[in-house]
Order: sequence, then C-alpha cells, then structure tokens
Amino acid sequence: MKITGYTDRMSVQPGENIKFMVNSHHKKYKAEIVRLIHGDSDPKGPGVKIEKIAARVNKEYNGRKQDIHMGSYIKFDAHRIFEQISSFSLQAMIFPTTPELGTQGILTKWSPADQTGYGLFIDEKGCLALWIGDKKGNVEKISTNQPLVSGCWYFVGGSFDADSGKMTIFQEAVISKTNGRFSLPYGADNQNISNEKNIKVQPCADNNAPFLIASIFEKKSEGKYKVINRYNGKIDRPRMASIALSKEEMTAWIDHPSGEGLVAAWDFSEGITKKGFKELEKVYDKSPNQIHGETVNHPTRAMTGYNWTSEEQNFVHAPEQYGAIHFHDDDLTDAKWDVDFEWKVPDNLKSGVYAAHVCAGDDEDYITFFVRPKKGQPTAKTVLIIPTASYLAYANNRFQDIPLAQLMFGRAPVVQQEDMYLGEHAEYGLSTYDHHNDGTGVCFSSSLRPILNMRPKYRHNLSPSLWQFNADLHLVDWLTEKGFDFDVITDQDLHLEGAELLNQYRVAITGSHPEYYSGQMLDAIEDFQSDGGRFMYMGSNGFYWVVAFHPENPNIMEVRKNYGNQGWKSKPGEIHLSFTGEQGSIWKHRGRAPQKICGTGYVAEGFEVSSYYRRTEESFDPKVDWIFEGIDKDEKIGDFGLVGGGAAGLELDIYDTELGTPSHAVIIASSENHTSVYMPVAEELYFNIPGLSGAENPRVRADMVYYPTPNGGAVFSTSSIAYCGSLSHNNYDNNISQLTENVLRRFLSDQPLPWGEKEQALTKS
Amino acid sequence: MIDQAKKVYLEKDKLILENNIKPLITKELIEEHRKTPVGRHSHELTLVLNYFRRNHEEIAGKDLIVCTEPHKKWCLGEHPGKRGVPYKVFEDECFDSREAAEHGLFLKRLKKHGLLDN
Repeated sequence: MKITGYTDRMSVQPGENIKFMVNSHHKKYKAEIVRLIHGDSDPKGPGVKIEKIAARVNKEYNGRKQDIHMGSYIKFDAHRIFEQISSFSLQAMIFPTTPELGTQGILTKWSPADQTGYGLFIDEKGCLALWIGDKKGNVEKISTNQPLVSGCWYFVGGSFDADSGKMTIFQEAVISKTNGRFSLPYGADNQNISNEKNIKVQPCADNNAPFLIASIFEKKSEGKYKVINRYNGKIDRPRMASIALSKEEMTAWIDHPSGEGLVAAWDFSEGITKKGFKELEKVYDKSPNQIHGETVNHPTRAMTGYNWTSEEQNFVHAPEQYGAIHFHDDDLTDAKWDVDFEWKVPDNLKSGVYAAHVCAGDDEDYITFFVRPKKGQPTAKTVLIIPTASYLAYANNRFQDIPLAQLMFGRAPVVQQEDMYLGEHAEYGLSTYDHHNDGTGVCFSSSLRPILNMRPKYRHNLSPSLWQFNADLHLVDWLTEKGFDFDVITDQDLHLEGAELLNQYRVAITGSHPEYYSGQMLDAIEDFQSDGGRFMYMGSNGFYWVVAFHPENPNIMEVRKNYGNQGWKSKPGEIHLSFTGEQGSIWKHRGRAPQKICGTGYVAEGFEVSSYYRRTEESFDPKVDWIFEGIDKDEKIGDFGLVGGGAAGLELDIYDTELGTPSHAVIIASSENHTSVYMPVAEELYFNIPGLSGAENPRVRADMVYYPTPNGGAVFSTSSIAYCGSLSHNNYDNNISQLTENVLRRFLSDQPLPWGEKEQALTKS
Repeated sequence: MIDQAKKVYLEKDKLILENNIKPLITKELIEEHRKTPVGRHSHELTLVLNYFRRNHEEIAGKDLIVCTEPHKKWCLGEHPGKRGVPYKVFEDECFDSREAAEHGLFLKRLKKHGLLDN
C-alpha cells in the first residue's frame, strides 16, 4: 500500500470538479480515470471489469508522501494574552479514560523541542502535573504523585505566582451517584492531593507553541499542525487566569468564572440549540476576551459533564449538564492532504461508479467516487441509490480486531493486504464498528481519508467474500450486462435533495446493505413510494441506524449506537446525535421500523455460508406469479452465488405486520435451511433463550416480499445481503437473475402493474 | 477484565474445556471438519469450534487467516493484540485454499489446547 488516495467528495455531477489527494512512496505514479463495473476477482465469477475513460488528468505525476495526523484537540487563533502570561492558573473538570498511557496534554502551551512554556498535563506516571519551562531550557514540574483513575471525574488545577515563585497543583475526585464509574467515594481521600513548591524559573510563554486543549503541539508544516501526547477522556469547564488563584477561588470559578485575572472560561455547551449544535467545531470562551476555539478531528460533543444527574437523556434539554467534550487520541475526520490533481467531469460522462486508478510499480489504488446526473436532468428511468452512508459506517473497519467476531462469522476472518496495512496504520482512521483506544465507540466517520475497503477487488472479512461497496458492484455489473440504463446517486444526494430527486425516476433500486439512514433519506424513500415510485430493495438490514450528515460537510457522518445489534454501546445519556439533537440508535425505536419502508426488517445474521429461497403457496397467485415467469415451480431459488454460495445469507429480513409490513404484502418466497451460526438480532429478543439459531428457529429466514403502493407504485424486497452475489451465476442465466429481471422490466413498463392499489387495505390483519 | 475476574474466567474456561469439549474430540469429528471446514456442522463440532473461536475473549494471540496472494495463498496468522503492530504471518503454515487453511487452523488449535498430539 505504497500509494493511497481519496477525493474531496463522494458524489460529483458532470461539469463539476473533483479533487484527488494522493500519498505516494514512489517518486512517480500514473493516474487514469476508470469506470468500475465488476470488482469481484473470484475465478468462479465473471471477473473484474474496469473500463478506461479518456480524461485530461490521465498522465504521470510526481509522487510525494502525505502523512495523516490523528487525534482530536482544540486550537485557537494566536492571542497575545497566551504569550504574555507570567503568573497563571489553569483548571478544568476532567474524566481521563487512559491515564495509564502516560503523558497527555490537558491545557498546554508547551514546546517539547526546547522545553519551554507552561501547561497542565497528565504526566508519565498518570498523575496530574503542572510544567513550567523557561527560555534557557530550565524546567520545573510539580505532580500530585497520585495516579488518576480512569472513568472518574476530577476537579484539577495548577497555578504559578511569578512574584513568589510558588507553584501549586491539585486533583480532587468529584464522584456523584450518576457521573461516572463509581457512586461511592471509595478511597477518594487518597485521590485528593494538593502539592506546592517554590521555584526560580519563569515560564517562557512566547515560545511559538500555540495554546491547545487536549494535546501538545509538536510542529507545524505547510500550515498543518502535528500534535503529540494526545489526551483520551473528557474535559468540562476549562478556565485560565493570569494570576495565581487559590483552590477556593478556582472552585468558585467552576460555575461562576469572573473577576480579576480572568483570561478564558470555555463553555463547551455553548452552541447547543434545540436542534443540536449550531456549529459543532466551535468552542466558546465566555470571558470578555472571547478566545473562541475550534476543534480538530471532531472530538465527541453532547457528552455528559461532571454534573450529569441522569434525569435528562438529551443534551438539548439540559445543556448545562452536557459541558463535556470527549477527546480521543485516534479521532480522525480529515486527513488534510494537499491536492494532487483535479478533474472537471465532462458534460457527457455517463452516470456511474468511477475511480482514479493510481499505480506505481506493483502498487495501486482505486480512488473511488460516484458520478450522478446533473441536477434535474435524469438520464434513465432507473436510479441506483449507492449506500454511501453505509460505506462510511464500515470505512476501514477492523473486524479482525474484535474478540468475539469469529463466533459471529462462524469462521476465521480472512485478513487481506489492505487489512494488514490498516492494522499497522491506525492513522487511517476507524469505522463506526471500532472502539477508540480508550474503549469508547467511534461515532464519526469521514470520507476525507483513504477508505481501503471501498475498492474494487477488495474481499471483506465480515463476508465469506464481498461486502458493501465491492458487493454492490455485483448489481452494477448485472444492470450493465443486462443492458438496463440507470443513473447512480449517493446517500448524500438523497439526503440533500429528497423525494424531488427520486421522483424523476420510475424505479429506485437500493444496494445490498443500505443500513445507515438519515431521517431525510427515509422521508425521501417514503415520499417517492407515496407518489407512485417503484422500489426494489436488493439487500437486507436496511434503513436501520439513525445517522446524520454534517450540515456543511456531507463527507462526515455521525451515529450513536445502542439498543440494536451493534459494535459498541453509547454511554448513559449520550445516545443523541450532536449534529441534530435527535435520538440515535435504530429507527425501529423511533417508530420507523424498516418494515414500513420495504415490508421486511432485520431479523437474523450469520456470515459463513448462505442458503436459498423456496416459493410460497401465495406466490402462485396471478397477482404476483408473473415475478416467477420462466422459473419452474419447484426450483430452489438462488442455491448458488459468489457470496457464501447462496442468495439468502449474511443478514436476513423478515415480514412483520406488527412492525409495519403492509397487511396486503405477500411473502413470495422465503429462505430456509440456515445453519446454527445464524442467530436472531438482539432487538428482536425479549429474553435470550435456547433454540434460537437458524438450525432450530423458523424465524431465521429471509422473506422475499412484494406489495403495491399508492398511485401505481410497488415494493419488491429480497431481504438478503447475499442476493446480488447470485445474479451473475451461469453467465447471468439463473433464477435469481430471471426473477430480478422480471420485476425490473415490469416496474419500468408504462403499463399499470398487474395488482393495483384498489386491493390495498390498511385494516386487513 | 481485571486480574481477579480474568483468573475466575480462565478457571471456568478450563473446566469447560475439560468437561465439555475434550470428550467430544474424536477421529470422526476431525474428519467431519476436514470434509466441511466452513458450513453446516454437527452439534458436537459446533461446540468445539465455538470454544476455539472464543479464545478466552482475548484479541492478543487470536488466530487469523491471512490471504497473501488473492485466490492462491492463505497463511495462518496471529493478532498481536494492539494497533500499529503488524499481524503475525506464519509463512510455514500456508495453504492453497481458504477451506484448507480453516482445517489447518482447526488442527493447530486442537494441538494448542492439548487435544491432539503434535
């Protein structure tokens, strides 16, 4: 992986520019724009299909290394007051999560190179410390010499009086019944330490290191900061004074910072509105100096503060209890690489899946992007909604790092070279399935970094073969081979333009696993259906997690997980999205179960082998039997395929009228014979009981469902992630391909569907 | 997991191995796995595989299969337990199919747990 890259946007339309950022360890590399049709290199399938596209940018470039600096922190514009400090006080409420990792910056203006400046730190022993370095390199440090305990709030502070030379430090555990890991103050007396000493050095405040919260500055190159000793944990109510405050004065300043010497009193809850944070990156100083800051790499906000009582679960209702920001040493939402080349997408370029293929020697990368049609100018009757929100959620995931994943997979994870690279390169950023280094879940993902598993040829270890992006190319390939004209749009396009975008099409088709949905995206699908749109749901576990895109930067997405089937669980009081203030978790818990959108919803999963469907008796009814035209009545449907050897597998959805499957919907086929690795999803269980696996439980199945919707529309749902992997079997001549073609051709027809809306009924049980 | 809890966990895990897993290991069970390394298994083989895959809920030392040449070469590997460190790849434990690698891993795990002679 000596060459990698990313684009400045996932979706682009003809006439617009798209920028490519490339990291190359080779001095020269070649770039070529290509169209991606099929990315499965399995010898049993049709093979990789990639077409070259003539483009001005297809040429050789000079390569350069571009680094990624992970870790979140707060930076400030240069302010003279930080440079002019002699006496000072620094204080905050902190909730460290990895004090055992040693030196971490809390409030720092420190230059590690020449050991100058001042700041409040966690020191190498995991204790709170104040450091002062003078112009000559003389350093004085004072520590509490009592290691901090993770998961516990502390009131911490330190001061220096330039006249007397007195340096102080203290830490005091702040334990309430609800704010942290403990509720009784076990041994808190031992944790509460105050130390002081008299020193002769004076801080060199004008040291060219900027003041930072939650990191130490190392260097600036080409306008970009590199920080070190990055802090893991929460910080609430940090304050700074230009005099040495007593501990009593600092205590008063926790909630009432005012009076002599006030330099800054940051309020991390400022900016909270009824609809989430106004500007998530902005940090406000409530002192007259107004030294406002900006977060880097999106530390998590809307986090419970030291004073959280557990009575309120949503930060928008009690901002004063949500004054904490949680920083992680491995947060990353923008690699901030320089642009290597920029391409104006030609006006006549066909909508589809594209990449800049960059290669040097034996190394290559496919920097993928999606070309949608020009706004208001569809070029086909069919639109394929590329599930980019879900690609973001899984971006650079590391399932091989999860201790119990092998049980869920029913096999060992097959680690690819891309996974090997990510194992060594944490700076490429995490997915929303991973945990940060401090054990908390990852709630942001961004496309502003190379996403090594959003590539053709990539084989994903959650699947027996392909998953998400590359698996969706199975569908792109089938549409292409079958000669269907189609446009592609991304989830961001759907989110921003809604039903107006979809309503230009007769048929909308999903990818194999459209799992992550914003409210706007759900609205768009349902409004399209209500307006007579015809909808093909080509996968499973769709419309599941509540997500929001960054209001100004749709490359960044947020999710808060819990109460579903999940990689991590949000902590108490932290399930609401900071972008919007809405409740996270899964849509089912917000009254929008997937069954309302596509007739079926997530029921079970297993990842070792796939199975097949059988037609139901109801499928022979003339109103739906046209779907099976050309297929013998006793055939197993999809007992073949490139994803686990069958069309029904990986994740499965079920018909459920309680959850909103329309009562006139018909189960036209249902899968069977799943193995004991297949288990029901957590949110479907009341109690965990024996006999639930696929080998014993008739609810472990994929229900293929069809039903008409108002104004001449209809929904067809496959309810299985593995489905699209069967389309190309036997040179595209197979019952899955036939069935899908029967539905799509009928949906594209100008004729009314055989079974119309007259027979719909809300009341039928 | 703190040390005390880990100690108790490992004691119970050992008990499960001795009482519930060890008696299941037979030539027939190993042959069943050889024939079907991935897919539908007997109840007994499922119990054994679940035990191996759990690996005391620890990621350090977790067995992996590393594909070193697409569709050609799969080697057994091991997770180092932390990020930023390369996964171990055992170049002398390589196979020409994913299924063969799964069975190779099964035999390795049997030996690791003292359930098969070296």
